Amino acid sequence: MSSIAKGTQQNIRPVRKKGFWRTLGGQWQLMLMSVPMLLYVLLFNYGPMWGWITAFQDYKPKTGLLGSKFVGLQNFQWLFGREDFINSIRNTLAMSVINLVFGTVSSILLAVLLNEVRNRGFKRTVQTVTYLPHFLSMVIVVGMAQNIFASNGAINNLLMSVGLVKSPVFFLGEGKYFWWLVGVINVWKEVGWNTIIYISAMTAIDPCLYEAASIDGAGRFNRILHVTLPGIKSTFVILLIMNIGHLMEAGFEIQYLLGSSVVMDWSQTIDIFVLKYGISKQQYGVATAAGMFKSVVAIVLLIGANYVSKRLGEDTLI
Amino acid sequence: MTAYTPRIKKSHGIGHDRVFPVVNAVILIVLMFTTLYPVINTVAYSFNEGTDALRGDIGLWPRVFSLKSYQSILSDNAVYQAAWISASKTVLITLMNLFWTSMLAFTLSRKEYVLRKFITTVMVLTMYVNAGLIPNYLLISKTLGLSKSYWVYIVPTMFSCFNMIVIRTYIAGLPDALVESARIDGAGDIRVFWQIIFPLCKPVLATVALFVAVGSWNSWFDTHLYCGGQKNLHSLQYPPRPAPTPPKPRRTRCAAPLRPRPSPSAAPSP
Amino acid sequence: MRKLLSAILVLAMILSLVPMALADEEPITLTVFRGDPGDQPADDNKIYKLIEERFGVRFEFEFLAGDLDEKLGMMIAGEDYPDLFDGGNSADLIINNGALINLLDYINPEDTPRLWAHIEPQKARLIEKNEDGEDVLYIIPNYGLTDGDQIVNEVNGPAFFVQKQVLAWAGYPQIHTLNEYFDLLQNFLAANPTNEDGTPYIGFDILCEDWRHFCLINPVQHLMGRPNDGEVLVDVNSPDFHTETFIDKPYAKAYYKKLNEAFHNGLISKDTFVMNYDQYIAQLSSGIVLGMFDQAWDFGNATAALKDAKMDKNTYVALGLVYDPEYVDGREIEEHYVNGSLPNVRRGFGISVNCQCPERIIAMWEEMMSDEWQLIFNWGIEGEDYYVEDGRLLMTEEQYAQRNDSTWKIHNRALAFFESSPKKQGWILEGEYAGNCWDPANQPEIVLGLMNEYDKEFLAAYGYSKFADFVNPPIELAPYGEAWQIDYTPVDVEHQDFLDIQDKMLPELIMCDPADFDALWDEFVEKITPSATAFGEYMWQAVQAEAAKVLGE
Repeated sequence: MSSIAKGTQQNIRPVRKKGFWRTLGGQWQLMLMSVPMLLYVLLFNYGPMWGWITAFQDYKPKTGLLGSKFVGLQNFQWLFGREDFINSIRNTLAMSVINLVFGTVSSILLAVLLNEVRNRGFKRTVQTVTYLPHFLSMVIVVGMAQNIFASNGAINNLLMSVGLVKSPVFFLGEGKYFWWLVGVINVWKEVGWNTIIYISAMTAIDPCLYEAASIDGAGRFNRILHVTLPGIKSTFVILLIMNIGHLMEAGFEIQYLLGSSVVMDWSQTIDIFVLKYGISKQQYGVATAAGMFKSVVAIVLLIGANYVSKRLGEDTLI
Repeated sequence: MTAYTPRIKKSHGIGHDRVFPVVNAVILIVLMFTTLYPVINTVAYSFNEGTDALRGDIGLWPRVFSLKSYQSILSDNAVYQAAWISASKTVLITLMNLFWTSMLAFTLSRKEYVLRKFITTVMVLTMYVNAGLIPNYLLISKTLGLSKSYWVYIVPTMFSCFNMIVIRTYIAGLPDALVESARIDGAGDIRVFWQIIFPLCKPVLATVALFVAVGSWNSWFDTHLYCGGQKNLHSLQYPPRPAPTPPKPRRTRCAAPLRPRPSPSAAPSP
Repeated sequence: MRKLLSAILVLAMILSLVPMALADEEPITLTVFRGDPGDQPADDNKIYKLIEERFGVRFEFEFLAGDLDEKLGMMIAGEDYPDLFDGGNSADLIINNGALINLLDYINPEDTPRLWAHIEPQKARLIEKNEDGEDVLYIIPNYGLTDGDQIVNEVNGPAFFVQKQVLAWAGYPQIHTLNEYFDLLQNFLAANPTNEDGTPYIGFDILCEDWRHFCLINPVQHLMGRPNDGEVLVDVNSPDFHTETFIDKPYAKAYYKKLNEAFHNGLISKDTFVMNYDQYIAQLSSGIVLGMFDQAWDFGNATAALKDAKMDKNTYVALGLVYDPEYVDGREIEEHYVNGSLPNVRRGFGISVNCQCPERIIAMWEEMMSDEWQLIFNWGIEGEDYYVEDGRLLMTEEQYAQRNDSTWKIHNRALAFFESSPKKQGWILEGEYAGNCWDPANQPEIVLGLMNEYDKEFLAAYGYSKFADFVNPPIELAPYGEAWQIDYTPVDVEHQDFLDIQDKMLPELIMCDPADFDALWDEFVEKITPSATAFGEYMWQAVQAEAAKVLGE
């Protein structure tokens, strides 16, 4: 299929010779369908971008943008002068990478397993039930996780009874476990929900391809490897590029709820740092500076991932 | 959660077509149990008497059955109004999103469109740049004057770039010949989109509709920012319970009670 | 022509008078913001109906959902203030940004005698000076302006708590020092490792979650014989109110060393440092925690759950512990846990600069300070919610019980408004109900009626009449008030560091190998000294300034 698509792509490449404006004129219908949304995001997403100026100010809501004092790069200097901010960058990246790798692998795996289920009723039931945790509030999910991972919780009881450990593992109180706990909880909560997009991509795979593979003598494993996975590749690549751009976002809710002071050095993310020192200490400029830093890194990551993908001949986001 | 490791090993090791479906079913059933348990547990809590529930340790069935929490919610008519707000805004937002998003996705999937790269870049960046809460608030509340109105739920959320990309990826997977032949028949882009591509996008539109509807149904932050004081505009999810970010008193006051509470002796003896 | 002209003039005058005459009666809707989470009243709430009938005022309430500072920041940026504005824990923020009007423009002895009489006794604390040196009052405190002798039936603030059964088991001993307390817990636990169901007891819990870490970091000042001053210790006997942070001082080391010992004796579980508030309440409500340091209002839910489950022996007694002389160079320390009453400064409703009708709100409050309205807010409607017998205000058990029912409350009480409004507290001093209490929860007949048999016998064994007898009676506060109320925004960042180091290292100290304790303590002191010094010095100045303000009047 991909070879066919590539062939036709060549035929409809814009003909550069014709001149930009004339081509554009000929595409007025496409413009009619896209420019309203362009204006929409310019207003709603780019309109408020004046707020970035406050990263260079000692911004006070009362005096506003015009009345607040400019302080140059002071907010950035303050941020990068703090050890715990640097720490929070490390924690954010670590947790998002864990989340990205295991979240993606697990949801593709589950989607493949679901795709192999022949009984439609069973498939639907599994799908619906595995969506459910997505709807649970993080407070409830973390509360349960804390019970399960407590010294006298289910996991420690299991480990002790099997004889893997002699005394309970202090999962919740030792920093080295924290990132992985967050990963486990996130994966469990979102794995079902994240399959939606892959299953939707799998529905677009031509059933003939499976038949052809079977006739060629491919077993189940080979069919998955050579039909299912290639069928969702472009979705996978696009999502991967998008998520690489999101690596600076590890959230704050789960870390805030699951973390305690004893694991603070491992649990504090950029977002928590900003909550703590930005708005609640009325350092609005610092909060904006941190947000700006995050955005810039995100864009660099995004463009990098997009470039690599292009180089490898895969789909690109932009 | 524990189902992961075994699953990876098994799915790779199985070659026999008779064993696989059974193993697969077992894995999925185990996974279902781990995801179902917390949900049932939450429901059990909601049917448990409030004071008793504080003691925790409730499994799949309430310990002291009580309909109090439900009676409490249903005793005020406000809940019906909130249900109406939630439902109507969810439907409206979903329709809006499907329409605008799929249309844009179509244009950005057309490789010959000269503005494609520019618009795509502008759109994609919206996912990564954020001006911060206050500028956004001032735009919506002051410049556009949308606060304290129903439209604040609809207007700022008509479009999502993520969903646009999802649809665009789907459209890109459709055979280009479809568009080509329609073109040869003399159809304009609008007609191609509306009559050929849109109907073919049903599966992905269903997916996107699910994303948008769930997101809209669960949202409470917009109510919190713009309509917190308008009881008749509250949605079912507002105020969020339990609070997603537990209210954090400023450290300034942490060392003592915010205000005298009724002394514990005030609790009635049963 | 003239006639016509004068007729028109008369007509115009009449017309212009009509709206003026009606203005007072014209129904208005006041927008209200409360800086804490709460329940919206039901549409058919009977008290709000009364208010609407009498004052023509309806309310649109907004309660806090999400982060307070974030919400207030946006309100300030957009100048979107409600009419009645309770900034909760961050009231300083809205005041410093000029969101509230000066109530002294409306409150004075002539026009508002009741409100004036209400604030007058504490005006030295309440009235502040603004930048221009004018007297200003932004908020009438929601609590703490009480009439008559202070009512303390039970400790509601900080204390070391212990289950009643532990004291009963030990033969009702007097427990006054740190060593006595931990010895008692240790002995009980050795004799009773589990409860009747076989669940192990937990000797001592330390809640460390977020802002509730006061259970971990506050006890030292109380052991030194001082009431709650937040994170500093004030020497009230020194002429300049010497103020210092206590956590980094040698006398604090003794307490954490004691906890380290208790940890290794199995009294404290590791899990206590990572548990959240819900888990803490669940543990307390199950009756398996023998003791803890906390403030009684913080675990009121657990006490209610224990009483509901008839686990009276597992409820708690507040003890006022001090250091044994061995820890403080042989000094005998006098315990001071319960304070004299103090207005809740800068807490409650202010009126925002956006409000179109401040005089109407003041007039309403003035009227609401009458006995009639205070009874309606506190007790409800006579015959429905309470009854009167021989001049005594009373409730049936059922009437009292429904006050804790959240469904009943949203239909029958005006708490969303009343909690943040000026109110009378303490004893009713005059009028036909003189000698009763404003708050039903304090009314002696009700307090006595609620006391169960177990508690009566328990108190009888000690020869006490109320649980507050376990600690010293309220002691008048020093002029500076309570240091935890002082705003320290200028050293906010240093203070955060100061707290973070404690939060991180105190649990380490408690859990570490006893052989390493001294070295780790020195490391802790070294790390915390810079931020502690910055914060401590700021607080010293602030305490002096506060004292000067009150003494100067």
